[in-house]
Amino acid sequence: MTFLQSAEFSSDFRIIANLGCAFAALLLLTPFAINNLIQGRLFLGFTSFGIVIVSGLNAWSIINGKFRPFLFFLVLVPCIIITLILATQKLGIIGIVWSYPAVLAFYFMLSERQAWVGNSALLLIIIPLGWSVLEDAVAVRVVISLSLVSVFSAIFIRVISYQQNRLLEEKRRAEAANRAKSEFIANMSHEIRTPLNAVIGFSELLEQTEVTAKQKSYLQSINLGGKTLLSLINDILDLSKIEADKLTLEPRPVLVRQVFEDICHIFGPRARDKNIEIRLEFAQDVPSCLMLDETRIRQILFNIIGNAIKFTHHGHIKISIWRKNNNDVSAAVTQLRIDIEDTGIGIAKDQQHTVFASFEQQEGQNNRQYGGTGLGLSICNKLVQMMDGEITLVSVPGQGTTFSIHLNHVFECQHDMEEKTKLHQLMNRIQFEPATVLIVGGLNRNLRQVVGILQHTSLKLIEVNNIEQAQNVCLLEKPALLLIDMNILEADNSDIKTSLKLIDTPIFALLDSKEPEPQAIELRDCDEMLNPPIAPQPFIKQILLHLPHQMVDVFSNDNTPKQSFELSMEKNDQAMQEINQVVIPLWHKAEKTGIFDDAMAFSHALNDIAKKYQMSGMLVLSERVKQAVNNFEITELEKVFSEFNQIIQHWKNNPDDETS
Amino acid sequence: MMKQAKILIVDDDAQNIKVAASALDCLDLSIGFAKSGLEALARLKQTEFDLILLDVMMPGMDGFEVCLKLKENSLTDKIPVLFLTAKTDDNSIEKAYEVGAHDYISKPFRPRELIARVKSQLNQLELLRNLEYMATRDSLTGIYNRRMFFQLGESLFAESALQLVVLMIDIDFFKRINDAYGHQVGDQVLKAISETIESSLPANAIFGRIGGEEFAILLQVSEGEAMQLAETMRERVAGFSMDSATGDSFNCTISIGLGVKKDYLVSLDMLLKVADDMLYQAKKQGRNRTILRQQDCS
Repeated sequence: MTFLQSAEFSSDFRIIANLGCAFAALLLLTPFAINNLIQGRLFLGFTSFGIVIVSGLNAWSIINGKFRPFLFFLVLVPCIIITLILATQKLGIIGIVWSYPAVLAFYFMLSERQAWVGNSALLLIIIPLGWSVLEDAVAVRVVISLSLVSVFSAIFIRVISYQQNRLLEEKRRAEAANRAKSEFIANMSHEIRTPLNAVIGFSELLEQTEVTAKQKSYLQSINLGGKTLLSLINDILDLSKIEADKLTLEPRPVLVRQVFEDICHIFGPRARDKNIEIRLEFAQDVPSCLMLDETRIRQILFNIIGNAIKFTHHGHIKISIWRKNNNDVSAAVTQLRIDIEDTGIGIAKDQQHTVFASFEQQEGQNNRQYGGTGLGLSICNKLVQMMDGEITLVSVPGQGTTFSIHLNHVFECQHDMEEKTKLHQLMNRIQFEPATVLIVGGLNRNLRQVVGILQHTSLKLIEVNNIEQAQNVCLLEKPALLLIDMNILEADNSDIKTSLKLIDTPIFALLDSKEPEPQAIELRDCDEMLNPPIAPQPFIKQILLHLPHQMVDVFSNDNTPKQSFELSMEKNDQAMQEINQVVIPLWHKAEKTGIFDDAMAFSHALNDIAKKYQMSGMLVLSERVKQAVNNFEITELEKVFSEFNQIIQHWKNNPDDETS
Repeated sequence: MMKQAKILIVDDDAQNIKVAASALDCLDLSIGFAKSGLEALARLKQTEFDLILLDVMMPGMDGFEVCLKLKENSLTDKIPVLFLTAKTDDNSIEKAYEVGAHDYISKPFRPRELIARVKSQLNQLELLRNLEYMATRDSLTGIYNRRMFFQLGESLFAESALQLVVLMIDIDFFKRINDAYGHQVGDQVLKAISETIESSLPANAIFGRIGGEEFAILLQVSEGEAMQLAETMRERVAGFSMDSATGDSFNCTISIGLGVKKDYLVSLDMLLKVADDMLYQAKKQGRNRTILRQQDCS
């Protein structure tokens, strides 16, 4: 067993040893077999011939490059047996002793331990004994030759094991070097991230100061570049962490559905831009709360879904989550399966196994065509492996790819987060109209909680510590809602609404948790009172009563851009004629030459006509072209051009719809 | 600098184009962009650009390939190509120059360096164009000089199988004008006449000054049309009055001899010889006239 296991490491030497045995057996046994047959000793003759044939086959198979371990043992084992038989028949007890070294050598060969013991035992015992008992020349010759076969084998095995140790040592060293390199990269990446933070952070801060449109566009480019670099470095960091065994998973209770809905939400705009539909199919029996490393799960999904969108140019992306062991619903361990199916360009059969390898992108997927470093899937694969799972893929080039993530041991956990999911879903659907919320009493812990609930909405939150500050704020800005700490309200004797000049602004008072009886407050003109602890959902519902808002469907796949609809309403025959004569030739020219000045000429012409016929949509388009040209934003430019084209096509196809 | 130069920036990354274009915005340039090699080639077919900034690593066709394609085409082979690329290894730089690049700028570039290099390329280009102009044009009249006329004429003669007419034009009594009014006026006469002739020519005509007061025109029209054209220009010149330095005005005339390409006329020289003979005839018959065939005189 040891031999076979180790033999896998150095096939060259295994082959040499094997070939040596085979040839030794052929050379030594052939005359012996012939001699026996001639002399009528049929049993010995045929047995030795059998061994010769097997040896021949063995040698032949090795030469052809196919190693057959069993043939190797078919030679050796009979060799030992014949040695034993012969030795006992002809030489009695001495024969057994005599053949012992051969057995010993074979044993050491198999166990591969200190083969030199076997070798020296053979040399010490066989040679003097063999020459001293020469009366049965044939038997002696056979015994000696078979023993020699064993000796040669043992020597070969010794060489093998030496080579193996060396290789193992090399492998260990290479792995250590790789790990050191990974650690180095991990450290370096940190060092690179630090200056990048300054680049990203300050470009963002600077963008918020008073800058011209052009400066703003430059700053956005700096920011974008910084972020791209950062995500690249993060990828490298992750991969090197995994390779240096430094990455640990941190499973926590995760609301699975929420994670997936979030991701669909994030990819929504990108998919809509490319006219791809994202579908989410969530099987009923998937537990709502599972122990997972949320960051890593998101990372995996981001990568795979991001890829799917990148390589899909029409059709859909379907994400389905289901439970594999659904017949055993009671089990606490879930086998989760996540399928991400796209209708993209697909992956060729011969490249399917390399997509998970580091630094590899598909061949022909020239690394600039779709961008990326080829690290994403490799990281995903390793992360999923760490989660005791695997990623598989099925793909047909030109038709699409399905990546399947199999997670075999995911623990279920209690549904105490159900509440949070519902809140999350609710929050996702609410879109507040721009409004300011003034919060008075910024240090109150309960108010902090309220801030926490509201901070991810589009509401503008202003926090102040006392009434005076609140007054100052109210001079500048009229809040749509006032949240105030009860203690501050009580300390101030004046009428809060008049003192802040907020007659029709709703006021929410936040009670102190220690005083659950709010008699005194009822006299003051608060619209709502909040009792701590504040339950987020009722709180949100209360707020909705007072603030203008819209409820939107998170997964609405509104593929027709609103603007083009508005634009198509502006159709005007005379304007159309002018556009046909003046603007369209300029547009064609700009598209053909790609010269910014030509695009500018197009913008000016469109602007003139839009102004003349009061087409506000066209005016916006022309302004967008102007902006894009001024800032050399070619992506935006091409987008506006294609929108313009859509409108023109729409007009051409619907010549009758007279809406002007 | 020359009139607003057109520069094409080729890069598959929109941000890179933005950076380069923004950097070059301070120069008075007309900037165009292309997002792939194929797009660049298509644009260069439609529009004449003066300079190309080319990225190397692009999907589909890389920058080297694009450059090779440009150099193969006689319409684009003279446009200077500046590689603008993140590849900085020796092999890439060497290859860039091998495929015909004029300059190589590594990314991320320093904007002022890019501006300086682009300026220097544009200056060189202008210089080259001036030299080319000077080498091929007649300095007084701006039309082709003798050498260019023959160079273009010979290739046209070799290409066109039929319908090639040559007009030999000579100003009548030009020596007298020079003697009477001075060389300056003589130069003005030459200029005015060449302008008058040029304005009545079709676009594909080859018009050159091949001697002191001798002009030649190659036309790809039929015999009749050529005769008509020649008569028009002769009449226009004759009806045009020149002013001398002293204030007198005078008229001057031209004589024209036509030569029509025939199978037996195997070279441009032979064709010109025919036209020259006709011109001689015209002179002999009293000048200010157009002669197409020998018979006309009989």
